[in-house]
Amino acid sequence: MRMTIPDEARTTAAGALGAVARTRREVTAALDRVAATGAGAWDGRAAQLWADQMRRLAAEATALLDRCLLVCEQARSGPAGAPTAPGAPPRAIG
Amino acid sequence: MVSLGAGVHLAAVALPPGSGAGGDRVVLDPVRLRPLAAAVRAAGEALHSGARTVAHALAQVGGPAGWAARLARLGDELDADATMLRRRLALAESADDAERSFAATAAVIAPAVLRAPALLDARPALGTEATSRGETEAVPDTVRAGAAAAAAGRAAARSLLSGVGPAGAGGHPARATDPRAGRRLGSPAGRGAPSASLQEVLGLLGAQAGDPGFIAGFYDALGPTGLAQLLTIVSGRARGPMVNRPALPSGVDRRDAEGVLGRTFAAYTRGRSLDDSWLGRFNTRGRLDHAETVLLTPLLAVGHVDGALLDRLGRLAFGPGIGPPEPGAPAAGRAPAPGQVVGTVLRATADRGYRGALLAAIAAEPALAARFTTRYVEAVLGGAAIAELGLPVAVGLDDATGRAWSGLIAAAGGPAARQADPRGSADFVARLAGAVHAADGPALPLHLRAALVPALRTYREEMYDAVTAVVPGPVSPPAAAPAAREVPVAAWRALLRECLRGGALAGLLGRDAAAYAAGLDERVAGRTRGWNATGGGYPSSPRALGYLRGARAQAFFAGALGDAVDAVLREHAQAGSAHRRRQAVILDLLGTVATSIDPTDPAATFVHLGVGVTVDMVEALMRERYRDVSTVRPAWILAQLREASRVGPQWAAAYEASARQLWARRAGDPLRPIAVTGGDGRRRVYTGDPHTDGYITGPATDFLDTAGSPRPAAAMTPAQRGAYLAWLESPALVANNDRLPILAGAAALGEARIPPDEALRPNS
Repeated sequence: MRMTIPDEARTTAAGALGAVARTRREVTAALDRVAATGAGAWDGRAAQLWADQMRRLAAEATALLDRCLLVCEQARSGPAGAPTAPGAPPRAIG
Repeated sequence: MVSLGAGVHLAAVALPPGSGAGGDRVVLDPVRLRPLAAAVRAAGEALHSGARTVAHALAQVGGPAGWAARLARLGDELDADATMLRRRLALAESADDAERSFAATAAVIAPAVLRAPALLDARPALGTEATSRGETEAVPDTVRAGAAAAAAGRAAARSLLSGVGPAGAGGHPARATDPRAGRRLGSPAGRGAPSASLQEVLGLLGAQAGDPGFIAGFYDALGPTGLAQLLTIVSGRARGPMVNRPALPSGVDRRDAEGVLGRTFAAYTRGRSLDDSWLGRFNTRGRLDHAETVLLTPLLAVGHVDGALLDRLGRLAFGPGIGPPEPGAPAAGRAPAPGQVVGTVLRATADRGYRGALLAAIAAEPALAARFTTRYVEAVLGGAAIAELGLPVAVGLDDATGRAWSGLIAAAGGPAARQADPRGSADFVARLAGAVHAADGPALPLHLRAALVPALRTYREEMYDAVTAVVPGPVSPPAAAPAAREVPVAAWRALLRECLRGGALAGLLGRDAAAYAAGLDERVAGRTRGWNATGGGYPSSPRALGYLRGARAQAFFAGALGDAVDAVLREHAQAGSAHRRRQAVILDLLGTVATSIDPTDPAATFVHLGVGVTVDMVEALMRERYRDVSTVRPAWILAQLREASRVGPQWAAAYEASARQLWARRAGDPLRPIAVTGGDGRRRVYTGDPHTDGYITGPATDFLDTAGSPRPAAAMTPAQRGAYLAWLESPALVANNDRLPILAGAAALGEARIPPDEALRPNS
């Protein structure tokens, strides 16, 4: 009996996409909590600078994660397995 | 609570003048700041966790690795910010509660301000920027500096792992678009070109070698696999399947790099518990169950690696040995037989340099040396004895490893090990004496014989106490080092004999015997001052037993010397000419020591004995002798000594018997009380009655039977034996003993076979 494993790389990319999407949700939620609790906690020029820095940091993190999502999405929808395992045909077992 | 309206003016008071800080006011609300700090910490954790997930995900789809590293660095920034916020909170609350001045706090934490820029320059965060303006660092703190240092350490390690370069001099990290991005650890930037990245990171690591936070961050992030790769590159070892291919040059000075890594890794091991899981990943093959321990060789010689890790490495290299199982390890069933352990130690075919470095590192760790060595004592003695047979095939310990083991045995028996690990040290010396006794005169190399000497010297009091005890057996309350107190006299004698057979340090050991006798004399005299101040005509001095014990200690040494000479002469007769030269030199040395012994006068002995000859000197003497040295003269001296020093333990038994008789006849011949001044300066009268004199304090210490006679010593409990021994040595019992002068006189006349002076000094 022969059993063919369907597109392994595509499955891997889908898993990666799910993991990155979940990460993006978690990180965004955590940074939102920082923004929410930060209001009024402290004041002064140092606090303002810090808040600006936090905004930049949140933007950078979100942008990075968005780019990661894009790469994973392309890997999932692109040619079968091309980005991950070039020249790796479906393996036959048995 | 510090309200917004009543804000604490931290910046105005926290910074010393001239620190560059402005007069900016920071007003904070602790009730709101606390959840903010928690949220920032949670966000940092989310970014670290996310970075790991993203790294894994991108590796699967072939995405750039630098993105995950960047996310992790953002997490580091949040970690540092959370620490900063908590610190601000703590300062505000303490100010609110105690209304104390911040001046002292500022004095303590001011250095952190100066340090912060250097630590933070690895990240382009607000912290760096604001510090230069002296604003967010208005409340500087060591905690923040520590977190920042750890983050900088992690960043440095990640720059190696991911190929993103570390911070440059300008404080800007290399970007993901850097030509070096995507390189694997240590791969040179160009073919054969020096690796600037590796150099930079090692330079940074060296500069931060005194900062535990940086070191922890660096090695945590590097991980065992990364460290193994790094060490492989630095050592110039070839990797991968084509191991015969020469490795690419690492681009760094190997010696410098190993120095930096050795110092910092040692500090890291002392701060982290590196378990078997860590060791299992310490390899360049990506395996979870292999430790390429040989890579650690250069590091072991540089730093002071943690004892627990050394213990693990030792077990990996030499097997578990014989002894208690590793703490926390599952019970390994039956202990291996000594033969199996010898085999394991001999088969430890790992790199010789590594074994030597590991054993030297363990020897330098007093808290571990004795406990570790105890497990392998029999194996090392066996392995060394096999090597000393000079068989045509290499089946014993090779010379370098044998010498490394000797160094470890010497350290394990030394006073530092006893101080650091009293119980382990006592167990070691007991095991060593037992093993030497059981081996029955093994042929051991000179360096190993010399290595046995420290154990004897460290435990000389225990040895001579056992040798001169009137009654053998354990006593209670237990003294220090109970294991060493239970070593039988025969085992001590065997250990002393084997040390003396090496020739080296024989004079030093002889001095120990004389010093013990002199010390005992002092102690007894100190306890019985003024005993003859009143008239009385006691049959004996209360110090007479002390004199006899001192003589016994010296005679014991002389006896062991005679045994050693016998063994050397036997070897001399059996061995070839090269061997004979060696034995003759040793006999000559032993004869010199023997002529210095005067059992009746420890002080004179002490003066006459040389301090000792080292192994190197013995070996040098052997090299210098071109022809066979005559053994006639030293052999004659030593034969006389041996004949004369056959002092059996019968004097102790004779004394014990006479004391018992004294007690049994007390009705007809009452014991005469004696008043002495003790070491504490108090005058005290001893009657000879163990109850009255305070030796028997209850059933536990009552050594008398129902008829009022002492039970046989062997049948007593340790507590009873202790009381019995103290009573036997008490001033009243010694001073009333009319047989002691006979025993002492017989000894002086040589009839008790204590060496007469003329036998020892034929020329005088």
